[in-house]
Amino acid sequence: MTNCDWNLHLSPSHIGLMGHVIADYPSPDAVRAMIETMVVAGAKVIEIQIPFSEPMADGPLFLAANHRAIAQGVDYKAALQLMGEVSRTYPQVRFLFMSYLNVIFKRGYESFVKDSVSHGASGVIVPDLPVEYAATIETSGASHGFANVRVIAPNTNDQRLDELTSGAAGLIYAVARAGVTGAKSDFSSVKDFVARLRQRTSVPIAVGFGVRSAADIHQLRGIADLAVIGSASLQRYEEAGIEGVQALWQELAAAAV
Amino acid sequence: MSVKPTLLATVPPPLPPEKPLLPDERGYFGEFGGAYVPEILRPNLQELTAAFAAVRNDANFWAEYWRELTTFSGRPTPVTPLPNLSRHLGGAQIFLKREDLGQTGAHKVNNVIGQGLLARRIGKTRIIAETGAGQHGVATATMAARFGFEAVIYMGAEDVERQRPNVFWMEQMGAKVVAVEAGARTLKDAINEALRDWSANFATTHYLLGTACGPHPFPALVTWLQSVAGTEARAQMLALTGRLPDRVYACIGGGSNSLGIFQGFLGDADVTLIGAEAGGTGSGIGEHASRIAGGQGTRGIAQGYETIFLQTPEGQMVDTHSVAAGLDYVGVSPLIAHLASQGQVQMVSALDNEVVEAVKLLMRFEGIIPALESAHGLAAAFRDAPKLSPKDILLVNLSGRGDKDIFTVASALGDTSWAQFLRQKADSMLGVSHD
Repeated sequence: MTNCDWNLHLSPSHIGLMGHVIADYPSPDAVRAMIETMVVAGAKVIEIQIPFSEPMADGPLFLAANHRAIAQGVDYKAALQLMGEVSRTYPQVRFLFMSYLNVIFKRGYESFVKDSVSHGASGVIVPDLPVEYAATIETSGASHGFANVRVIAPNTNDQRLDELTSGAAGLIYAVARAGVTGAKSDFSSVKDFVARLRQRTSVPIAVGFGVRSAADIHQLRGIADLAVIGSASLQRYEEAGIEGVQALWQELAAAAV
Repeated sequence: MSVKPTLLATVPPPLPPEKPLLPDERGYFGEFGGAYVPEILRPNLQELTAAFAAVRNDANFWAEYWRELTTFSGRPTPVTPLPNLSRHLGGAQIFLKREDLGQTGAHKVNNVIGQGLLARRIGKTRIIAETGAGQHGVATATMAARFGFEAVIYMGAEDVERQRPNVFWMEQMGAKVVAVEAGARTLKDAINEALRDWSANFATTHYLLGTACGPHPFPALVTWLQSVAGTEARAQMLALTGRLPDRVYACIGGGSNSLGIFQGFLGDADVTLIGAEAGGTGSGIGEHASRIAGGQGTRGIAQGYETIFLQTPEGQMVDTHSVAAGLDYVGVSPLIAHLASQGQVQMVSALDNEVVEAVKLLMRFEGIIPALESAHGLAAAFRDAPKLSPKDILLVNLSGRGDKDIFTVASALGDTSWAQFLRQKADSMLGVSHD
């Protein structure tokens, strides 16, 4: 699979799983074990977050985790190394970076894209990068098949949805609700939101924010292409270690197919 | 010093700025600004941008704003000459613009009343705000009580500890104060938390940002509302001295008080504008909040906007320090970053000990208790005054009063009787007996 190939081989009756980890957090070994767990459970896409001191879209769990990761010395280089390693080990999985704009801005947009592509990343998710400021990273990514995954919120009007879906690359990250990561979501309104996106684009749609359990996966099946499991996975690790994460992902995998 | 006997009351009420400081269509002032927020907040910023554009062209809004400022907040605030201190220091004549005399004792109230009126226009019922020193929080709480808003104030846990009296008053006025434990537990963390709240509650809630920072339209909106200080001060200086000041000083945390006063003089080529940042205890990382003057800040994009931040080469924000909680901020208004980059504002810094010395001087010679924040501007002016001639006129924006700082100042001056008083007071309130 090359970076440019965005066919995720999704079956229409199933839902793909998308995982999230923070680079080298809680430790280099633990994050590799978590990624392996996600791959074994059939994850199609995994985000690797490069920690940032001001993660404005993240709730309390990831906020604290970002700060602890930075204090432990997790930096840009560590994130690249992890990306290089897991993208080679698990070529069947698509890996994305996730971070806040300043981390990328300080590296330089073009250098970031080059670093990412050379380490096997297929794209990046930047929650604080509105599309009107994304031209540089999108242009420089396009020549490498490297996607700036646009994050779209449910309170968006039709005109803006047209703008956001036009030129969307890779996949679309649809935010299930208002607020930040970590809290529980009620997915009842997601169906309409995803339908509004599908009228406009054929790009796969990942639904995130508040996907925590097999029950949530059941609810999203037949609606979204991918369900993003973020905080729930790290929370399970903090409560029950890697066995807890394995149990969670087995449940999620069973609900997804 | 020569002061004309013109009555200050003859100065006409300030009008909105003829040429408001507005960004380009991307929300940028030159190379700084923008609106880098999660998509969920975009409709809110657009609503606010549209409402701001509408009120700029609505004389009724300004009239209502001015009515509240006069009847609730005591505007216009005077300009006070400092003859004793000017004589003591030798050299230039020094004047103060007295924003400390407004409702709640700081310039913050101007912005708060303006945004309160705006929030009412766009139908919001709940107000959230961040606060550093607590001045913006207290101002927001008074406005919310008066206008009938529910109010939640986010405050870094370290600031809550440093500014307990302000927390007390906010709570008494019905606001909920949330101590933010994340990060450095100061202003930037409070801003992040307010943005998180806004993401979840955008339909009912107005985020009343307290300074000229954050995503567009906040820098332009806050600057526009704070223009009253500069417009008044310019007319008052002309009335008092018959000419414009040579230099205008203001402390710079986020930048709102400085932009307020500087706006009155931006078009005057002969007036030098000087912004004083927090020099803290030294030039090491974590010892100060001097983003521009110290040359240590670099360009970055965080908290919704592009400006000069104190950060690592990889873009992680670093800890900051100031004796003044209200200046202890890692970023700075994009408009200040722009004006400084164009040479229109000179940036300097003042050390904690210079600032405490400036507080002492103003109290002893003129009977005015300045806020530690504002005393950074004083310290910069007091440094320059002896080098200048009595023909030179310096105007300092006294953005806030210092009553709130009694704990910090008493401790900096090593006043043991104050500590004893606190112990006795605490014992008597808690019913502790030393028999």
